[in-house]
Amino acid sequence: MRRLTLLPCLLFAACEVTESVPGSADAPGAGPGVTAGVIGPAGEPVTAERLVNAAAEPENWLMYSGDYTSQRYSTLDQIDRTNVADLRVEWVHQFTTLSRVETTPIVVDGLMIITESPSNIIALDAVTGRPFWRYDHPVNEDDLRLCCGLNNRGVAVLGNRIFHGTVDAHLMALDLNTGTVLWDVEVARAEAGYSITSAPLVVGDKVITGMAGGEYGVRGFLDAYDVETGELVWRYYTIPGPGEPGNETWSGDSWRTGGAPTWVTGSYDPELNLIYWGTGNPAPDWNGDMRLGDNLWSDAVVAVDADTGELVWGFQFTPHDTHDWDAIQIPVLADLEVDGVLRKLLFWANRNAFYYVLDRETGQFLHGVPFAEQTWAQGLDPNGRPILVEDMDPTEDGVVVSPTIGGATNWNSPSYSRLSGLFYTYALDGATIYYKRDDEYVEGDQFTGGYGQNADDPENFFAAIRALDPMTGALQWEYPIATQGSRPGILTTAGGLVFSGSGDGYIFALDQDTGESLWYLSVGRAVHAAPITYSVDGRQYMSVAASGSLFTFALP
Amino acid sequence: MRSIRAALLAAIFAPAVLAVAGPAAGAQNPFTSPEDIQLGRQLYELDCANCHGGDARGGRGPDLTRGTFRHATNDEQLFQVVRFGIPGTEMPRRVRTDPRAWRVVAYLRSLGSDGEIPPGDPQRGREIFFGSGTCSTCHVVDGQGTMQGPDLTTIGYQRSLDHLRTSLLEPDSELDPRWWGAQVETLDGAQASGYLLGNDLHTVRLLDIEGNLLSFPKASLARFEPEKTSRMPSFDGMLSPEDIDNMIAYLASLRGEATQ
Repeated sequence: MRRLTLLPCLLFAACEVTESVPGSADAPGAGPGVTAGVIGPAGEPVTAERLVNAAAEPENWLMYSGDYTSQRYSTLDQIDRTNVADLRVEWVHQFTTLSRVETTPIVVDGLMIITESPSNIIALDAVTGRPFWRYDHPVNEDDLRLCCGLNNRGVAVLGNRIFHGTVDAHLMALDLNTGTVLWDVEVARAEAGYSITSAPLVVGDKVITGMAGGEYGVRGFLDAYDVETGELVWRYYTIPGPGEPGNETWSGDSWRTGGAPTWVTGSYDPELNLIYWGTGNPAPDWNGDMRLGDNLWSDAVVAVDADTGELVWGFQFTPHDTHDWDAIQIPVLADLEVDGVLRKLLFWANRNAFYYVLDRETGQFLHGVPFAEQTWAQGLDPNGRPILVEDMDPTEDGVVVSPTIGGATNWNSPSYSRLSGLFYTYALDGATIYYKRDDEYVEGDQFTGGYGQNADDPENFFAAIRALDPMTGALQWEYPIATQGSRPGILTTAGGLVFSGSGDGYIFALDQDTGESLWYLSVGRAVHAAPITYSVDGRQYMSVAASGSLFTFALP
Repeated sequence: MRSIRAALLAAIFAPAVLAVAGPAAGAQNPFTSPEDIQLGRQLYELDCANCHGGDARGGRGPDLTRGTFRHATNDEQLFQVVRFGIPGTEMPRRVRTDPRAWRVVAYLRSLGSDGEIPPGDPQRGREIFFGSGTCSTCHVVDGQGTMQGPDLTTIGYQRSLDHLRTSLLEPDSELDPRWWGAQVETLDGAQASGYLLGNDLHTVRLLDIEGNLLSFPKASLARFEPEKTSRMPSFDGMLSPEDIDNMIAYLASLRGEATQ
């Protein structure tokens, strides 16, 4: 615990709070002022080493997916299966916009950093929910090219800095204590179709950011910037240029406008020094005639050297995708025995409805099975390549295919529990009618080559939180949730709990082994974010955003 | 055809571009010809269909075929929404020129009532509605009738003639989920039925035939049966073909003028 007891008045605000707060430190909702808390940054800074060992300090949530494995598993166990029914709202933060909230909070020693549409940041006391500062990012909506809303999913932290990607495709560093902008670089031209909606990932002395724009004919990339200066250290293009291996998988000049963006945060293995990152759909989405070939490395996971940005290996889930099944899911890293040998593995429930196990040292495909309804592939071959069902590509008149455009899952975070040994993911069984249209690339215009619409009333689809055996993909249990509006992330804890939410406005806790509902609360609006957990002064909290508000819970 | 987009660009930039800030309040749509509607449909498919569906019946975004819009009551407001998006929502600023936006408006308007003249006698249809058809025991027009089913005061503005006919003859087809029903039985044996106002992970909410609002925790229910069928009977065979035409003529005449 790095929350200090305040003896001298180190901060004006803290001193004032100390003097004015009535009641005792044991009072419900009592703030840090009562115990004279100095919020973390006055303590030890977050070092690169702390980030590597983030799992060892479960009182904090130091990066988007919790730690570099992206398991979203916490060893905090104060809230458990026996007492979770007593969970109560500790505080609520209301956002100033009606836009969807996809933020994952970062918690550093009692300081919480959250983001708000379009690209704003709020720093608040993680115990009381009261704000310290906010940063409002100015945007000119005429310059923005966003397929899917003014979204932001969170920030990254190192030292006294936070790092922040914006919808107008800038990357910024801000002071952790004040929100002062320290540097601000244009990653790419927003009016050409580029944007950033994901949280950056700090690795060593670099801040890594992906980008979005797969519906605008961008050429995807992953960037590394110097944390001190904001200078570009390396750029890895997800679509190889002429002369590079893989460029031949794009007909003609289609590689220039082929998409494959990197719009959700990746993972990192410090031992291998590899960054794992998912890539999005090839462009145009639904007209594959304009980009014949496999279209590497769209809809893939790429393993990139953290020092140089060079591709070490890639694995493409959906070659020549014509259904918009971005592979931007969170790469979940875990080390488990395979045939008696401890292997470095990568778990991946993909938007294309297959669940994959890869060796993350080599990219070797080990196993893959459907985890949701799908009609496009007969299965996967020994190399993990899909064995296609015929006539599943979009046409002028439309073709019905499962999964839906939104996919069997999407960007929302899965979780792997080291306690239960299970992998948990959101899953949707549904179908879309996919249409193909002629299209032509015009910079800054949508470049999608078609569209899709629901093949049935979404009420007749089926959505669930599914628990899978991570080695076989076999379903262990499922918990049905709303078929519409559900984009919940998942958190697992050493309390034996699975926290998540639903499109119909519920937050809930399930038994990790059975899926039994142990606690829920109606929060009124759809959950499009992932829960996190942290602790301050020995008390465990759970936070999750549900559209207009962020809710934080604790035991009485 | 070289491509849809090339054709659109040629067609759209030919006319004089309207003022950047958009038209004055109450402006009329200058692009309403059949060709404009066809171009509007193609623009719709490029810019709108991903969220609202190829037939505009909704998806991620709402159904746009009902003739009424939550954020627009006239063409000028609809233009503003199409052209500039709706701040604070997922509806983006997407359609990038005024003529394009007007053509999308023209297409969307074509999805509701199409202005066709129905063959029947609206006065005779009105007599059936409030008389032998017993429609007003569940529907309201201009405040007259009973508010169990949908208010039909502006239905002629919202629906095409084909849709009105389908609704009369096949009420179960294309039924809005708002009008689904349900039957429930509690663990202690009490029964209820009515319109299904809400059904989520943990609760069921009904409006019963007497107009009572009922709310049940799902844990308290022994039985819950949603009925995705209309409470309205089909008039196929109940009314003569002539009277069906008369009903359609009456419904098509309901454009809310009495109340606006």
